[in-house]
Amino acid sequence: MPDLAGLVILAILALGIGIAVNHFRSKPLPLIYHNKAERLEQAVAAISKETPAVIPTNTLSPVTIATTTPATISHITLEEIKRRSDAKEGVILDARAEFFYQLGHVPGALSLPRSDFETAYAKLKSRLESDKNKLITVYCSGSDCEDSQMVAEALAKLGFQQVAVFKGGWDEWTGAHLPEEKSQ
Amino acid sequence: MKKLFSNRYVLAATRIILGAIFVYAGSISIGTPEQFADSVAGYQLLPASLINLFALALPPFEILTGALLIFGWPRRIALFSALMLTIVFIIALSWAIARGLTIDCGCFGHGKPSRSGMWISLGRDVVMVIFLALLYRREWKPAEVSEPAP
Repeated sequence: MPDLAGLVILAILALGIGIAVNHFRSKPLPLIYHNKAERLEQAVAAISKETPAVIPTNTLSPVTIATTTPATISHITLEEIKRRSDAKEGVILDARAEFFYQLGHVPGALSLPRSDFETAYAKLKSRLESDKNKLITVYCSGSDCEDSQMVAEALAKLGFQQVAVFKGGWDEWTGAHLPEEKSQ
Repeated sequence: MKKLFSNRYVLAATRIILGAIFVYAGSISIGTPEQFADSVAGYQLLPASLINLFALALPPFEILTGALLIFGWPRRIALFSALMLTIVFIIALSWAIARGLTIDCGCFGHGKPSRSGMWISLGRDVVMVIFLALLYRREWKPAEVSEPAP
């Protein structure tokens, strides 16, 4: 059947184009699929290889040890994240894609998208790792979004001790008509 | 409806609009391969070894099929490919709905997983497959296509 043959040829051509386009991407898709959690684990493992967790003690010289049990992640309310934003307390991280962060985010928040964790973490590394005991607050789009929890768990595995998730996310922040900050 | 679908210009306009939809859908997905692969994985139909290959191949397939529909050559192959593709989408979406999954369809970029969104996508695909089937049928019965009356 010529139509079926035509479809098969189109499919093969499309696969060839897809593989060729992927080859030239800055971050090509691997052959085997890894889900979001697995990709984030890989990113955390890559970051941990570069930077073993350093926990300063009361002695003069820090003791370098491998990351042990991750800290417990707490959940905070809208009132609490607003208080932290107003007081510029700790670091607030936006786990949504960079595009959405630029459209609007919690004032003072930095972008650490789950989808590009390794690259974004590298940019924030010096600011975040200066004190792994500082307050970290993570949010994403809303209560249906799991990215904030995933990023928080990744940060806990990297040795951050006080990580909290604002589950209501950007939806709850904007729903309360709170101020927004936009990126240039 | 039959008279409408005997008009050469209506057929062409329908084909071009459907082609543009496929090109649009493929263009969005080709730029976000990781997210598109996540959408494909959400259907829980393919093994991990095939998900990324499918995610890489489908957007160019949509774009090629859409372009062939717009340019109208080879028309029958383009219509057959578009018809088969849309039938696959309908089967996959119906399967996901029947299994109680709440997923992002992945049809036009990355969105929030939603049951209502899945039903809307299914309805849209059913409408598209009806038009594609009518157009494809016309390719086999060209004598039924007429010029508009002067």
